[in-house]
Amino acid sequence: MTLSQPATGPASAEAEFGTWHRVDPRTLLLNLGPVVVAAGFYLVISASAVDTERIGLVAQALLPFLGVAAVVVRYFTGRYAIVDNALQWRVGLLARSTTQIGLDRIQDVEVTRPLLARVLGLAAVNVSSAGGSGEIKLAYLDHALAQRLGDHLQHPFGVTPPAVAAVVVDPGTAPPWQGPAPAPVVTELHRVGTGELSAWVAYRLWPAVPIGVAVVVLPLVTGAWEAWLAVLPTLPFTVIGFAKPIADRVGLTVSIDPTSLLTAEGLTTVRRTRTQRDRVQLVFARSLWLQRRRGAETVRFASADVTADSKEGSVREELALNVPAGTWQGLAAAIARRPVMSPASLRPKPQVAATATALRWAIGGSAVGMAVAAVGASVSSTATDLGGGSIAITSVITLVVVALLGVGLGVFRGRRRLVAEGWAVDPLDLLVRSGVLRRTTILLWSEKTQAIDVFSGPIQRRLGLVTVVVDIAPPGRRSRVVIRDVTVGDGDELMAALTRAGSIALPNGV
Amino acid sequence: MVNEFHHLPPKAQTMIRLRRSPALGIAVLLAAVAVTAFVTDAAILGVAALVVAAIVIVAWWIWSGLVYRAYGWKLTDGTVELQLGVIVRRHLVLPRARVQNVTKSAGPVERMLGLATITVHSAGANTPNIAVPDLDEETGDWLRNSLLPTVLPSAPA
Repeated sequence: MTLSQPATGPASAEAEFGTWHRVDPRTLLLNLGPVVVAAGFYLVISASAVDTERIGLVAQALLPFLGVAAVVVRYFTGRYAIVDNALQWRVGLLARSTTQIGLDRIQDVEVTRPLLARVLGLAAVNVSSAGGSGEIKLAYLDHALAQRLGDHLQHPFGVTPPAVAAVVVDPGTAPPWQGPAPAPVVTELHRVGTGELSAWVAYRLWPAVPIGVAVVVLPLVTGAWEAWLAVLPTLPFTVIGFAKPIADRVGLTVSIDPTSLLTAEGLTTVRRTRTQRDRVQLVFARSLWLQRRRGAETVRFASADVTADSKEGSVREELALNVPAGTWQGLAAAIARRPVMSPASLRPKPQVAATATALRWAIGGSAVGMAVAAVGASVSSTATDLGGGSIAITSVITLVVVALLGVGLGVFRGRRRLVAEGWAVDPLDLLVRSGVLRRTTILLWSEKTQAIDVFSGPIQRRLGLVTVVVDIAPPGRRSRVVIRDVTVGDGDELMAALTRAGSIALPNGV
Repeated sequence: MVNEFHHLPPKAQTMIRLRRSPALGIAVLLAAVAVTAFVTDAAILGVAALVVAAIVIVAWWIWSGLVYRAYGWKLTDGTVELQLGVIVRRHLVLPRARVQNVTKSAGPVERMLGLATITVHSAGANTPNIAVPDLDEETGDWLRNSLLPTVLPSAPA
């Protein structure tokens, strides 16, 4: 990488991160604690065991000590520094590895503080890159140091990456080669209060309430309340399972500076993330049925994090938990630095889309009906002494009833889809609304299109419909936008518009 | 540049048939059933098994032909495109500005037939986005080299 060197730069950052450092020694304490406890536990057991079992137990106790060795080796051999315009991480005693991420390739910087780390005044810094070259996790650093490193990685010294420099349009950031950049202006976009958080929880958890009540009440009613004892041990896990996702979202604050989108959230584990605004691919709003009835929505975003990590698919990316419907538009416009497409321009699906839905449900209903009828017939022919004639009649009736049920549901759903769903495209945005019960509105920056897949099944071809799938860079479930059942002509229009937008050159193609 | 879809070379049809040859295993099994049936004097079962075996072979032959004919690919100034599918028809479009990497691969049988598969990836989780199977080696090389742009197309007005 040949980049011009800085004439001047903040010397302190260079001095602080320009040389190789280990992570904070308190990391040893944090990582060794659980291992030592486990080892001690094994030793106590082995001391009290009879001779024949002791050897095996001692051997098992050695395992935690291997764990101790691994933690210690990792601490003493792991070093990080910012050298040659890249964040570098070296680790390993026998097999050594060096990971480096060019400062101009940094995608997201995340500072997390799990509970124990907070007690010790530590924080972990997660740096991920675009382009699948991996990520660096520095666990753990002193909290203040982690903050400085996180800030510094987004405003590095001495880097003039042409790609990034070309897309920074805000005059708020002076190029780094003109000396230290002024502290960027941070604008708060949204802050989640207690009311918003509890509404969000309520919309998600109300179906669990009847189940919980049933678990508590049923044993009382039936008198078999020993069943409680069976449930009791799982109670802490259940509570943690429900409470952790809520605690992780306490105080969610979303803000922007000229280059980044920043989030901060969490009660026990505090998490702060920074994402390049130019790498944000889409903003989407989703409302559950009850939530929509109350005129509210949850807003999320997805960025082009291409790191090959299976956990990435579950990355939290909320912008707002429960806000008045339509808020997504303002948030998207703030991130995109321009007005975005309004839902008023949504075009409805053609009438035949409802027919397609009805046909699919009719076919599905008939298949299920046939299966139910066949199972019923085979059961009643062996278990009862009904005659062949009455079994045949029952089977036919079952088939017809289930099939009609399918048709009815299909017709209803098809009609609802015509009202609920729509799409619109222009050179800047692709807007797609879908879902009958759980409604999703997706706003994709058109230029973020990676590939377009237009397909049609036999039913669709008869009705002159196609489904358009837009592949995009974010991983997991956010990797595609689906526009189901549009006319062939609309499909061609979508393909042409997205192909044009997808031909705009982007840094790294994302 | 030609703006029509190219078909796969005729040799690709052989390759597609070979890929679907496990279907013939059913036919062989049915033939074995038929032989056993004839030996044990269950002639009707034997004839039925032979008829089904024949249907399997014919279906395999015709289906592979349809799959072969459904394939089409083209390279335009701005995109690389692929058509495929018999029952569900698909049309895949990948803007050339989004091409991240291109792979050419060929198994032993493909190499014997002088064929190669070109896979085009873009960023994101759904890669590979486009895989053009069983091209002539020369066509494959040409496609791979053409897809690595020296100058990206400029933004539309």
